[in-house]
Amino acid sequence: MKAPSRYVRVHYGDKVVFTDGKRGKRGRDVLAVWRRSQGLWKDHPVFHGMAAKEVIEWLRGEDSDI
Amino acid sequence: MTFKARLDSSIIISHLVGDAHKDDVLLAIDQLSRRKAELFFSLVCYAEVWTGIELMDDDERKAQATTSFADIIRVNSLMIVADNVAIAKEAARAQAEYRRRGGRREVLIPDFLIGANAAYFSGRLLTTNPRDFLRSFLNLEVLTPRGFLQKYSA
Repeated sequence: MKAPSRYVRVHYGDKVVFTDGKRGKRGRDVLAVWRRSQGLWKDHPVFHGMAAKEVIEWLRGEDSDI
Repeated sequence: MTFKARLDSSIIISHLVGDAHKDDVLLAIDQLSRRKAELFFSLVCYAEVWTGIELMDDDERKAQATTSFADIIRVNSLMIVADNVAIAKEAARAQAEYRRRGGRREVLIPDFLIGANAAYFSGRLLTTNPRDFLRSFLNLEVLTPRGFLQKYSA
């Protein structure tokens, strides 16, 4: 991955938002877009058969130990 | 006043794996869209979803998953937000408190960055997995999709 030579200087508390520069179609097809990908990871090579709770444990570790 | 919420990666992961929360996720997303809510997503959560994409060994499925993730971001105008120094300090406070209470994890726990980021940007986190770590943030409302619908549906 080649890093671009551009830096953006902001203050400690500034809110920085990243964008890919493409415009969205907010609100028009929200549910249609989500429905198309529901269950897309059912046959995932690692996460298949897991609920999100288990996937999150896989990614972040177990929940609080105290 | 604009309704704001931070989506946890578990929202998108529940949707993608199709677990027990999947229908509540759709209902909550529909409700948030109708409210024209401002939705945020942190880099840590982005990396978590992207890990799932990286783990795919089939190029075609990887491309499909990448497109679907990008479509979700665009259609919801999901704002991918960076942490800043204020957020880093708040996550550090939570980590230090956790260690003082006897917590044994030695690395900075992602939930603390996620909680601090959500508290900073919206004061609200929508998640299908409300982990104990998130209790460290008193100014953060942690909601499951069902909890959100019960509390905020008209």
